[in-house]
Formats: sequence, structure tokens, C-alpha cells
Amino acid sequence: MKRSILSVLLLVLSAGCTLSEDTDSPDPGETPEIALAPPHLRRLLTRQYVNAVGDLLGPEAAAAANPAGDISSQGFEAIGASMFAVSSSGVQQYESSSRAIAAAARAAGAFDAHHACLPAQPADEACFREFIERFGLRAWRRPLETVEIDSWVAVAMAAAQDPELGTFEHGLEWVAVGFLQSPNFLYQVEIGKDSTALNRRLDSYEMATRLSFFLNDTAPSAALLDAAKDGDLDSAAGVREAAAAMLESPAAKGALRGLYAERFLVRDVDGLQKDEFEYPQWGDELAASFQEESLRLLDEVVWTDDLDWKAILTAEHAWVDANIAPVYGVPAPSVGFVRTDLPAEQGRAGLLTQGGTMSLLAHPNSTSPTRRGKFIQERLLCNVISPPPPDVDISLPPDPPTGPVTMREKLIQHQEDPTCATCHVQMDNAGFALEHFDAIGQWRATDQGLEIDDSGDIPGLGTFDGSRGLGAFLAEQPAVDRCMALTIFRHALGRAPAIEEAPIVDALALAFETNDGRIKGFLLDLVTSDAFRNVGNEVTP
Amino acid sequence: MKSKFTISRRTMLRGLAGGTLATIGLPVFEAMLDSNGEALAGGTPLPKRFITYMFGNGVQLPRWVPSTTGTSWTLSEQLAPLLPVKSYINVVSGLHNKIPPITHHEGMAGMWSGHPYISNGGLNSNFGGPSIDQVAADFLAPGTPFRSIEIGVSKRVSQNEGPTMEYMSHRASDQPNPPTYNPRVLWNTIFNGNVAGDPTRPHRVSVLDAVKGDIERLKARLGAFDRARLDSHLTSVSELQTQIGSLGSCAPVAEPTEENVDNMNQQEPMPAVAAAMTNLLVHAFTCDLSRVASYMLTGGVGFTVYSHLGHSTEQHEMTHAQPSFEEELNDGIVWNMQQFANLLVALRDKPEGASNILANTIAVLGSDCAEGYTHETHDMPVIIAGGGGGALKNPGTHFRAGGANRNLSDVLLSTLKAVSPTITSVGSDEGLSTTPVTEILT
Repeated sequence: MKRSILSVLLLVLSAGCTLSEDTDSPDPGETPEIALAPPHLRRLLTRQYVNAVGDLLGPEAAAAANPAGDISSQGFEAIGASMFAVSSSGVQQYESSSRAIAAAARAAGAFDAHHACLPAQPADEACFREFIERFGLRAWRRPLETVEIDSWVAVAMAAAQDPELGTFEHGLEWVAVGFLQSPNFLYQVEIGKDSTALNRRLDSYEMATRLSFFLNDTAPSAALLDAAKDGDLDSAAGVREAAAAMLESPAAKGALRGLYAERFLVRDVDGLQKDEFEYPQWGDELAASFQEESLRLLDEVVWTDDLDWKAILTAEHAWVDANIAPVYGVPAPSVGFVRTDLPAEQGRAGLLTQGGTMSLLAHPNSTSPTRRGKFIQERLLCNVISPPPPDVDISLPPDPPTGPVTMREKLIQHQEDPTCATCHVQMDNAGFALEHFDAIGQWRATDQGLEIDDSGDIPGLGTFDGSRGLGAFLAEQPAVDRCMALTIFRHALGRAPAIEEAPIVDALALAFETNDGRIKGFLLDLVTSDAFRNVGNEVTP
Repeated sequence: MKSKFTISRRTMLRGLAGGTLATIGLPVFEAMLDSNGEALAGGTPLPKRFITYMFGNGVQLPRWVPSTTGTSWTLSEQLAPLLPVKSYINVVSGLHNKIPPITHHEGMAGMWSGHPYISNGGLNSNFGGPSIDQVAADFLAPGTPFRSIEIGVSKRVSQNEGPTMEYMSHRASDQPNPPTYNPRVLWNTIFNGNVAGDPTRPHRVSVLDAVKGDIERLKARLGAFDRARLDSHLTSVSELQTQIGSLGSCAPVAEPTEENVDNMNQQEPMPAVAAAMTNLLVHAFTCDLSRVASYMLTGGVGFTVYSHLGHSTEQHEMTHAQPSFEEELNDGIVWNMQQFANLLVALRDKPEGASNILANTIAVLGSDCAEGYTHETHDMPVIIAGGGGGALKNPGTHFRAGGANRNLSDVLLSTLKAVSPTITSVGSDEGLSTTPVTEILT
């Protein structure tokens, strides 16, 4: 198996603290065909499963869905989905989920959409056959083979002939129970065709499936499967046209929200606990509002305004509702979320000063420049911070007898220990720029009554002053675009790039440049690239 | 004790699924025992059970380690809740977790598997091999419908550092076993829908036969990596077929109402969840639906806030704060031990043969570090509880390793030896052991 770029670099550079996942790139001008990593089965993410069920069988069925959970690896559920075997309890859960879905679908009459025939009797074999072919095409995202159809017709016939349960509808129900547990539903299967020496082209149904789960977090629509059947997805131009249409769907917004919430930990804000004496306003409702605020800025920058995505790091306004307004010190809107300009003296700058981000990257009752800087290094710059060395006391020093000191002073004192300093300067010093925001993201003039020094730096990269200085600095870094390109690659393909694939990452980073940082344009370039349309040519049995 | 159930040949057969199991869904009743009550009629020993039980972020060693060793050991402050079952307790101290440390990951890997974690860079890793509960399951599970049961109580588990920190049970390095956190979901899996005589049972089984056909056909088109994943999937589908209807004549336990939902202040209902989970597990063992379980009271690192004890700060933060929260930390650890004791007492109170289920249990309690303050990997806190079907010292002892270099994996091997003497090693590389701590074995 190929090592990822990351693990190779770790071997080489393990003595240093921070390391970039990017290699010294070869000249991207020459792009001979690159051998891609072989494909792996990808288990549907839970949101993809639920969305697909909803598209297939309606909202009642989707509400009954309760699939096995996602397993994250290397920071991505999409990578876990292509690495791990489903557990025994996961298989149990898929079974009970599929029974609940099928029962809800039967009660709602949702199977009617998948057959035109009227059954002449409960065990109407021809009518079952029609349902299985039509429902199977949607559920498994490809036409069924005869042996598969026969196998499921037998299941339907047995159920319809059951002396206690036997109706035609029960036959359909048990087929649905089975189809939703089949590996053909639960996994994205990518075999490919037309192999070259190095790679294989995805077949048109596989392409439809990859596109749809990536861009819309759901199974391909009937129209997209028709396009696949007609060969429309066999050319880059055809893929671009289909993808452009999918980006217009509301589902595209949801899919990007899913990735963004995972990468920038928005979804972890729900479930944080705060010191209830220090922050009595903290709770379910504020956390949920912070999550929505963060995603609304994403929606605005990417979908409404189609701006350089890095506007997320510099926005001087926020989407504010009645829960958030008092935290930010602005008037509460009467209803919902309203785009609100923020007091200039607070220096808010998008993602990194949002209440959710600040709450997440803090302790229950104090800030954490370390966590904040680590987030910037890992999630915006794709650098890896080495773990602390063994058996060191990582506690911060207590306040000295002379009185309280600022968090910055405590951390700088901590950095006097050279074993800690090599890594902590990489984190703390960036986080210092956010010290005006407390553990739930309220602006504060002072820290324990002491003046706040919010100058900061990222060693080797540059210096900045305060939160807006930090946001503007990051928005100018090519490494930030490159990191986003890597992030989307990993999610889209369910794996880290192999070291041989570094030129692909280079090309993707370039695509951000040519698209002026616009996500939509980047996505269209990505899905039409060979890396997205091909898979490695692993020898099959 | 006279059983309220009677066992006929017909009852036994009704519990069969697929014709492959000898006995399922039945308590081990006197009717099936030999005259001494120590083995099943026919000489088969009573089934052993194996439990791994953890809480995160270690202990406070001065308040944890008993002051005396040997069989005359006395309970320390933090072990005090174990008093009602003290004779079933073996304490092992002074062991060193030798997995290369990066904080906490080595603890999950070393305590529960003995295999070094596989690094993904930074603080992110996968398990390097099967956890000991799954090794035990290879020996104990055959013949029971649920190979193992994975329980979680606190949901404040590290979710961004990979499977090593998120899960304690791993069937293999590429197959984590995520726990169930919602007692109603666990009840539904084990007790609901598995009632004998359910008219949907034949359809569920035949659907799964067709699913297996799909898996086999797909497998033939894939590379080795995915074939292995689908083999695991196939195995789990076959296991599921044996679970359907497996409750047999064992009365299902009452459906719990607890769903492990935070209150409005995002506080977890941990006491109620732990009580409900313990009840379900004990009932599953009593019905012989499963013989193996992992129980993650709180996750590694210790992100849990014990709000039911009046805390407003997570355990992990408490160990890194100055001044530190010594008494609050202690309260949390004592509460953890009370939950473990509650499980042991409930197992002891289930008679089985001449003794009780605890006497036939091997329960391993541990954490992901010795103390949270420095992520210490020396002197790991370990308790081996239960009689192990006669394989563990009873009354128990406190064994303290001499020197500072005795491998933590040695005690893992002891627990597996108690499962089967044929097991001769556990773990790999730095975590490899072929030398069990014999002092706790009979």
C-alpha cells in the first residue's frame, strides 16, 4: 500500500516540530499520467445514507433511518469510510434501520413510485420484477444483473406468500429491507473500466454516484442515472455540465456545510460544556445559534456572493440572532438570523472570531491560545503539531504571589522550558492574536484587569497584530488555499494523497488561484480532473 | 434456587437459529448442571465472561494504590467502593505501559490491546491490533448470539484524534467496535425483535441470505483490501442471523426509558445511563446472550464534566489546572469506582450453579494513563475482578511489580490466561508479552 505524503514526511522530519504536509513540488508544467491510488469501497456517510433514503422513499422513511455511525480517521469521516470494516453492532444497526425505513415507507405508500404495474395477486412475480429493476437502479445506482433480480424476486415471493403477513406490499417491504442492507447500497463501489497501464476510467454510473455523493451528499437522481445511461458523463464536458447543475441544487449547500462543519469543528460546538457560573448564558440554544451563524457565513461567501472563500477569514460582519446578539453586543433581531455589522473596536474577522470557534478553542472558563493556534496550524495550514513529549507536566504555572498575570504571560513563561517551546511557539503565538475573545467569544478589553497584547506570529511565516491582522494575514497565504485544496481532495476521494500524487495537489492548489479562490469554480475543476474521473489500476483477482 | 423457567428440549430448539447453536438465550440453569453445580452436565465448564471497563485520564496514585500487598491488602481511598466484592478483587500496580508515548493514545492501545497504535501523524491514530476483549471473544463467544457488547456512558469522547481515542474495543486494527451510548438503542438491539416466535423472523433471515449473496458477488470483483473488509461484513451478517429470535425463553428485561440526552445546560445524565447500561449488560450475561463486553464509562483524555458531582470543568482540564482540583478529581474517580462496583455486585447477585456470575467473570478495569497530570505511563492503575471460573485468585491479592519496568501487557496476558491457558502471548513490539503476572492466577 502506498504511504501518504504525510507519513513519509513524518519519517524524514520527525525531529522537527511542525511540518507541512506539502512536499517540495515537482514542476507542474510536465504532467505525465500519474498512477492513482487503487479505489476502496466507501461506506456511505450517515448523512448520505439518510439523504439517499429520503430521495428514494420520502421524508417519512428518512425520519425512520438510523444507520451505523461514521468512523473518522486522519480527521475525515470520508477516509474512515474507505478504511474500516463495519462492526458487528453496525451491521445490526443497519438491519434495524432498514426495517424501520421499509415499514415507514410502506405505511406512507412510498413504494408506489417505483412500480407502474398493478399486482394481480399478492405474489405477482412480474410486478415484483419490475419494482426490483426500477427500485434497484436507484438504490444501487446501476442496472441490476439477472442473477441479482432473481435472488430478490425470490425474497419478495416468499414474503408475499407468508400466510400471516402475505400481501404484495409486504413483498415490496422485505425487498426494501434487503436492498438497504446490501453492500450495493451501503458502499460506493468503484471498479472502473478501460484500463490503461496505470489507471482505469470510472464507468458512467460510478461517475454519477461519485459526483452525486460528493457534491450533493445523496444518491444520483433518476435524471443523472439517465444521463449516465446515455454516456453523458463519459466526457469532461459532460461531467462539468452535470456538476454545474448539481451545484445549483440546495443539496450542494448542505453537502459543503457537512464538510465545513467537520473540518472546522463547527459540529463539535454542540456538546461543549462551559463554567455555568462564569457563563450562565451558555447552553443548547446559544451553541446551536453559533453553529448556524458559522454556516450562514459559509453560505453567503460561497453560494450567495461566490467570493474568494477566504472572505470567511476576514468578514467584519456576522449572522446574528437573538441568542448571539448579547454575546456580540449588538441589537437583537426580532426574528431569525440577520446579517449584522459588528462594532469596529472588537475587530471581529469571520471564522476565527466567531463565538462557536472561540468557545470550542477554549477551556470551560478560560481562553486557550494553544488550542486556537493549533486549529490555525492544523486546519487552515495543514501542518501537524508533534504531540507533547512523554512525562512532562503540561500544567500552566499558577498566578504568582504578586497578583494575576495574563494568559499570554503564563504561556510565555511556559515557553521558557525548551522542550515545550519548540512546539508551543507554533501554536500559542498565533492564538495570542485572539486574546480579546473570551471562552465563549465575548469581546473583552482586558484579561484579569490587565492590558491585552494581541500581537502574534507564526514562526517562519510572518507576524500580525490582533484578530483582523491575523485574518488578513492568513487570507494572503497561498498555503491556506493549498490546505483547502488538500482538505477537499481528502473528502472527495476518501483518502490522503499518496506521495506520487503530489502533482495533483499542486494542480488543485493552482485551480484555487485560477478561480480567484471561488469554491464553485474549484469544484468544477476538481470533478473534471483525471484524479476525480479515474481510479488506480490495482490488479483484481 | 429454583428457576422459574423450565427447560424442555422443545424450548431449546426454539432458541436455535440456523441450526448452528447449541444453547442460546438461556440462563445456565441448575437443570443443565452437574451434581456439584460447577459445570454443565456432560462436563463442559460453566461459561466464562470477560469485561473490559475504563474511565479516562487515570487516577491519583497516592489515593489509589493500596498501602499493603499480598492477600491481606486493604482498600485504598479510591478503591473503597469495592468493599462489598473485595474478595473478588485483584489489584495489580507498578506496571509500565511500554507503548511509545504521545499522551493518551499509548494508554488506550497499551491498556486494551498491547499493540502499538498506528500513527496518522500528530495526535491521530488507529489501533494496531485487536483489543483483549476481542481476543477473549474468539474463545468465549462461539455459541452465543452476540459476540460482544460495546457500551459507552459519557458521550464527551475525543472525536478528532482517530479511532484509538474514540473506541476501546477493536476487532482488528481496521475494524473498530463503536459503543452504544443510548440504553434504549442497546435494549432494542439485544432484547427487542429477538423474541422467539416473531413472525417476521423467517423473512429477516432470508433477506440476510440474499444480502450475503450480494456480498459474495461483489467480493469477487474487488481487490484484497476490500475483500477482507467484506469478509468481516459477511461474518457480522451471519452473526446477526443467529441473533434473530435468540432470546428464546429468557424473559426480556424491561425497556429502559433513559436515552442519554443532555439537559439544557449540556449536562450528561451519567448516573442514570450507567445504571441502565449495567442492568442491560447483567441481563444479557444472565441470559447467555453474550459473554464479552467493553464498558467505556468515560473516554480517554477525560473530556467528561461530572456535573452530577457539581463540577463545571472537565476531568482533563482539572489535572492541568493550577491550583489543581485535587478533591474534585478524587470525587470523580471514586464515583467511577462506585459504578464499577455496582456492576460487580449485580453480577455477584446473579446465582449460577454453586456460585454466581461474578465468580465466572474476568473484569479488567483500567485507564489511558496512570495520572492525568503528566500523562504518566508508569504505575498504571489496573484491577482484575471476578473469579475467572476458578482461574483468578479468590480472595484476591494486591501484586505490586518490583522495579519500574514490568510490562503492562503482562497483566493483559494474565486475564487472557484466565480465559484459556492456551493463550501464550498478547500484543506486539513494545507491547508484546509472553510472561503473565502469575501472582493473580490460581
